Amino acid sequence: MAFNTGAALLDALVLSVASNEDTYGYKITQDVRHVMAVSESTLYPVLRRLQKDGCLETYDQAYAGRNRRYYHITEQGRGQLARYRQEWLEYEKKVHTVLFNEVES
Amino acid sequence: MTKQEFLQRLEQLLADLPYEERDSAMTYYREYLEEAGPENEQAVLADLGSPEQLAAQIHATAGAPMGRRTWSPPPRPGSHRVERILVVVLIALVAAPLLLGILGGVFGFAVAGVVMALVGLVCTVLSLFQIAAAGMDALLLAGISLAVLGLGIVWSGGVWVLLRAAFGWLRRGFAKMERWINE
Repeated sequence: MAFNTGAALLDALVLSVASNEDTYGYKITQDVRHVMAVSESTLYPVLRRLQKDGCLETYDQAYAGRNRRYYHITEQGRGQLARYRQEWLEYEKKVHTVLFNEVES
Repeated sequence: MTKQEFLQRLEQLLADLPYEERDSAMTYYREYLEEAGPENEQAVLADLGSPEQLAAQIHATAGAPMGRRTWSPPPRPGSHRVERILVVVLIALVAAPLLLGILGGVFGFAVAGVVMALVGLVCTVLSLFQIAAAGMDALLLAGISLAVLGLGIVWSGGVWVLLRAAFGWLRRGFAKMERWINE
């Protein structure tokens, strides 16, 4: 992605991935990397902040003899995701009109 | 730098953070490097930067600038053993008279049930032997005695069931207490 990814957009992307299924740090980083270049440490602050805000909750589950800490989206998180999606649609529309010179001037 | 050296150094640099923040970050990156696997280890470490850089980012996430002392010791299991054992002993001493009273009552109930059954049994047998001599009166007495015998059996049975339930409850309570002491 050529455009700068602001913090809010990262929050939205993380919440969206988590809303599909519970995920863990390494996996969600690889998922996001399909869409944009993020470093290995980009998502920890995002996940931690969303957890402290109550949008995500964690639980531990054993896998292949080691532990995995999973992130699960809460009801509050789903609400926040819905708001982000709405905002994105409006933003997308506005950018589109300007970017494709469809503004009535 | 190896994965172990990196994680050890990182943990040192997070020592001034509250336990929750340090545990959250260490768990995240420890598991992250595990998932990446040995083949990706060096690539991931290179991308993470130095432990100092990563620690600074973690401090920023925690809202605690590096170097500021907000240290809280991690709760070690078993670190409150002595105090907790003391609490249990104190509670036991205070509750002892009440417990002894309850125990006496339960014992009395048990004895009552057994005695009732025994009396009922003896009287039934005796009165049956008197039927030839006393006729209907003896039969009446036998009937009453049988009822007492039956009541005694049910009573004792009830006490027995209650005692077994109490034992199970006590055992679970002791197990919980032990776990609490060693928390």
